[in-house]
Amino acid sequence: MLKTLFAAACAAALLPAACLAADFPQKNIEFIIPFGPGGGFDRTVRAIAPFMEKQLGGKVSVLPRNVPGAGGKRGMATVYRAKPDGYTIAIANIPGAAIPALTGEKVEYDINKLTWIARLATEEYTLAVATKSSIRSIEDLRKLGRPVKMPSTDFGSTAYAGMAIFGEMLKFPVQHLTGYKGTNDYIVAVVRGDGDATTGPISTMGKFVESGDMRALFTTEEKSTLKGVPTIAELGYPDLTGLGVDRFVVGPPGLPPAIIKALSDAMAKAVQDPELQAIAEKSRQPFAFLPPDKAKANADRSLALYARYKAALQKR
Amino acid sequence: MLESTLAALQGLFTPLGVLFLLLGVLVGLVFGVMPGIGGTTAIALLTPLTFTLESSQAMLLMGGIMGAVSTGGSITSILLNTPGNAPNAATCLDGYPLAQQGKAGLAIGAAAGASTIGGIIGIVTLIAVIPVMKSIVLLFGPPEYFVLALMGLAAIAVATGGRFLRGLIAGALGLILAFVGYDAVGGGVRFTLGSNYLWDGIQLVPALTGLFAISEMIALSVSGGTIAKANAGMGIGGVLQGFWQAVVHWKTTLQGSVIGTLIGAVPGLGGTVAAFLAYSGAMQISKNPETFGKGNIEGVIGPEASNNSKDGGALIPTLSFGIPGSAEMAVFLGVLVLHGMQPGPMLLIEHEGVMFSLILALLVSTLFSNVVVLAVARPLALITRIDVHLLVPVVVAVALVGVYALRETLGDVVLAGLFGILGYIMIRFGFPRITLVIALVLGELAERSYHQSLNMSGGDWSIFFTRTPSLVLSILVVGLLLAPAVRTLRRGRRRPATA
Repeated sequence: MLKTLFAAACAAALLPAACLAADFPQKNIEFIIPFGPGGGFDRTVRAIAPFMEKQLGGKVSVLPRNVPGAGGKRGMATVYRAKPDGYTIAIANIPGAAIPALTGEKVEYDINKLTWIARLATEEYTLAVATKSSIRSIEDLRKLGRPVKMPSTDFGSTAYAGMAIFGEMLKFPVQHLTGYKGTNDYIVAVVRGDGDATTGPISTMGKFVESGDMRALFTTEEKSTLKGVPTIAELGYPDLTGLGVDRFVVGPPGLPPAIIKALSDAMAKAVQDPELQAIAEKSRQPFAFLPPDKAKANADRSLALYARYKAALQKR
Repeated sequence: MLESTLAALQGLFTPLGVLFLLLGVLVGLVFGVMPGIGGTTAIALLTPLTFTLESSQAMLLMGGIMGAVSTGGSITSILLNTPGNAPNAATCLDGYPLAQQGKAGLAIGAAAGASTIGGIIGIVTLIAVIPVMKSIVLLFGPPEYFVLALMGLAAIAVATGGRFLRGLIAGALGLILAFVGYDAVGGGVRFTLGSNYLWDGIQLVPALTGLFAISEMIALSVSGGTIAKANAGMGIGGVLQGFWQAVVHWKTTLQGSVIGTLIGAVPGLGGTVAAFLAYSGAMQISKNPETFGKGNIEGVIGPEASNNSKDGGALIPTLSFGIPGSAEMAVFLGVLVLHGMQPGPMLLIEHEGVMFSLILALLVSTLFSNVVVLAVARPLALITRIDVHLLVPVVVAVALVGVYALRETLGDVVLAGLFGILGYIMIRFGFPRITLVIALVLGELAERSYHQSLNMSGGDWSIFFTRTPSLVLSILVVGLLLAPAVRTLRRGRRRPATA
């Protein structure tokens, strides 16, 4: 009864934004994954969704929805065009979602206008070669006498961008071997000898190091989690620390602050849930939650880092 | 290994184990029967449910789904010319004509028989190669993929069904369509007409649904009547007889199973390619190749054997390096991660027991699902006796909803409609659809792996012949192309002698 009165008052006062927040959420929330099912972004959303529901009162559902296509651009365009009412949010790959614009592709969203709701997780990179390879250091990459062949999925992917930046900063020429279907595919391409070295997320590549198929040269972490592998800062390139991929939650431009807070708080509490933490620990994908303001600062810094290497990214 | 197998068996034969496996089989069958949506959707939907399960129980559920999906998909291929999943499309080619002749029961029985035997062969092969599977996967790089794609394209030559020129035209159209979209090697976008929808190319599921299901529904509403023609006789039995056919034609079954296992093991080729290759293979070794496409039971047995054997084969790259052999497998790897198992080279070493639960579930699910299919084949076959004016709207609606549900894109529905019209035109003017499908499925892989190979070698063509695996495969392709010519020559020589 009180709620109805309140809703009527809201309508009368023509203050939809504030009232929306007080009532939020009234219906199911669609959580867009701009990739097909099965990847890291998909897993993150599917893991947190039931725990967000709990925090939002348990009356509405948080529905993961895969909107794959165009290397993530279709999903990002979908959330960009959605009504800013909090019922459509998306998980975003940063810097992945920003790279197309940097390389001059046509995109139907402006990354800087999206609303930053939270950062859920972050993952650093490592650069590795096949164990049987003669390359043992960054110096060896430079002394190869030819460009370093580096397999990746496609032009404009996050790992591709990472390799281009490593080549530029560490001063070795890179020949990209694109066209592999997924992360494990292009990592195995190095084990097989299609290429010389490659860059990938530590959680995936670390397994190949552990099994003895690959040798890592460095990681971009602040403190290396791979045994016996130095960080890039220890090798004298502190600028490259933090080069990796982040999982942010974004909403359409102009999302009301109260709704941002409601969603962000729900996620903050969800990642504290011991049950979800157990799942995250088991899957070795720990959450690294940041609230909206810190998430935005973090995203801006990452976007600026990649923007600095625009020229290297545009080279094919 | 033996210990893990025993532990997996123990896990299976608990009330909960059997329950989850059966649940998986049921879900797999239902999602398999529905056109468009298949194993990928089923696994993604059930993922949250597995959070609370033990890893090995989750594997029983997932293995149950994966083993049953392609079995379910064959039913609608045969009865309605509507492939439940893309790999079932090849089954339409002869399964549906059999249904038209009133032999739906026979065709379903044969499909079940071939699936069962194929599934067992695939899994036995998988278990046999586990010790050496890493080196097998490392044998195949882009040059080998290219030659394998060529091998598939070479099958167009035998799949034209006597209409050589029309077959080639359809094949060329398929190749053109395969090149639409984003080029992952060059980084350019081609033939997208400025639309974001075409960025990812022509989607296989809507295209196949259109080419087979929608086009047939158009043809049916023009002709009227029922699917099984009036003069076809009223008997719809023959299910067990059909099952037996898979044993009688053991060469076709075996060949299909070997093709399925091999192609399944090569990531990126997938079940659809395997099924069409098995179909053309069945045609080549058949005594009556001219009756293919008109209801030859061997045309059902070959692809169905390959369909289930590919599941075992596809686990080879998955278990050795975490490379998904199919779309379903990609989603399944996500489930593994949520259960604390990182797909990659350590998977089988760290979680041998859980992986054996999966293999066992796949095997048992293949058997279970085919028993279910055999049991319900007779009543299901009655569908072919329904007046098409009642049937057509239902099938079209279900097919289009399935196409939409897969990616929730209206463009996919439009594409299915356009391919439906294209398919109808092809039927009317006698163009074989199979050559278009083979080219459409393989064109992208052929182009991509060709560019990748030349990138690797710095533009040197010899890369296709200097590596032993690609050399062996190249010789096979030449042999495959020459075989029909040699056979014709021999026959020609014999004829004057007998005359």
